[in-house]
Amino acid sequence: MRILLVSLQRLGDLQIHRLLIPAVQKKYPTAAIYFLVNDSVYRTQNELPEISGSLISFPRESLLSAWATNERSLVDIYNTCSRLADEVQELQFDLIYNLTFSKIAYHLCQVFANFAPTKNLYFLEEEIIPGGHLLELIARKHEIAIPVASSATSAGVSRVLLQPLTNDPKKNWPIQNWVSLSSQLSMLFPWLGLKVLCASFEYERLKDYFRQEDLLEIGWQQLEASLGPGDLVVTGDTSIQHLAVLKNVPLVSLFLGSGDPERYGPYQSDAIILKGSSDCYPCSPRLECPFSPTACSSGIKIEDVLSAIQQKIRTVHQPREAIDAYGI
Amino acid sequence: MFPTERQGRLLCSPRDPDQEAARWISKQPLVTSDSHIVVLGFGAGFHIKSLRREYRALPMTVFESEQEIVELATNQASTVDVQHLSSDNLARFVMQTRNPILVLCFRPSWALREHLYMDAFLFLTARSESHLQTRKKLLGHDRDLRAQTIWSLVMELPG
Repeated sequence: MRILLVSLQRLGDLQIHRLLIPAVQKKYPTAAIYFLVNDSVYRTQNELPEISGSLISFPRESLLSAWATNERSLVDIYNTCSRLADEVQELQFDLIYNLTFSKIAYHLCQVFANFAPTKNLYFLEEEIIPGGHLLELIARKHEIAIPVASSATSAGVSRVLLQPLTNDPKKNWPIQNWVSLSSQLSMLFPWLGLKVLCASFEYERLKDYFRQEDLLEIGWQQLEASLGPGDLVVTGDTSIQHLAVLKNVPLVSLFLGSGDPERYGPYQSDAIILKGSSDCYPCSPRLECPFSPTACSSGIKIEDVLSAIQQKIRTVHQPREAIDAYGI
Repeated sequence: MFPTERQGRLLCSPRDPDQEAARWISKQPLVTSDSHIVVLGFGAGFHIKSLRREYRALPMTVFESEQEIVELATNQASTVDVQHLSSDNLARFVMQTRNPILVLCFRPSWALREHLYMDAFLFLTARSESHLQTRKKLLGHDRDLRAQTIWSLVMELPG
């Protein structure tokens, strides 16, 4: 049996969707699971260790680029989509789960359904989405029972990973705050390994603020392989928070700007979520923030984040020597 | 190369056709390696010569509205497929071509036939509602449910 999960959004959404895999595997133990993802996601993550199928790339960027070029024919764009549909047909999926709230995904699933009209197909209607966490909405729609993950508490925290940058400037907590947080953490918990995470394209910006030896420039798949027991992740509204959930890693998430933790927050029962506070928070994703730093960022103080980290460090079991030396 | 003027009509810049051709090429959209280049307007052929030099390996078709120029060009530019601009030829071309096409307009040679060339551009790119419908009919997509669904997907892309 083959099942296709259609996840045509961003990297963070894919990490949220991955939380459905155990439930789908439980329901269909022998099924090979595949994911259809956007090409921009595929470039960062082209395999998932927990599935026996593979990731299929939807060439959204090249299609959009062709669309934007008037000299290109719409018929050629049609042909590219049609070829993708042929490839999916060849794999003969028995079941397709659409996990994406978009008209493109809706139409794609309809195309796939034409190939196997007698088989089950689930897709989300083009309707106004009711409130609730994205994962719960999808799970409810598809009748999949998902457990709420909690972080592993059996291992003590030995490494704190800070992820200061998000994909949207207005979601960023001021970088000076991160610098201050980092130095205070080093003083308070000298036994902790402290690293500031950055992708290669973020390195140049962060190297002016942090010591080179504190920066951990790492690719997505390497990070996924290295995250594990003993880590604590402190991040803005990024895909890394969802990866931490997947890896049962304790988490402190900072939500600012248009970040909406009720809908897109980490799906982990004991994650600590700190939110911005201002009249305009949360704002629309399409609006640029007129303030620098953002008005809502003042709602999260360095002491708040420090306190959340301390709480996490106290909650999880600490190594004997840390308890003896620091009374934690 | 052709004269730059024909029966009182300028086919390209008579002062510096090579520079005009180079400037024109620099303004064209990105040509991908799988493209079939279509040029609307043969003019005096300077831009075609430059294009051919730049993209030696790519298939290229030129549509020209003047039959006499087509005949002269066919004799002289054997590495380029030059066809008369007619609805039959355009329809045959889109039905036979497999590669994605990139339609480049050499407007200096269009003169008073602007509407004819613009109509061809919209037909080839399917960028107007009526031309898109014509293309769908040609391809049989107007009667095919699967094709109609894929078209819905295509039209949704920029949103």
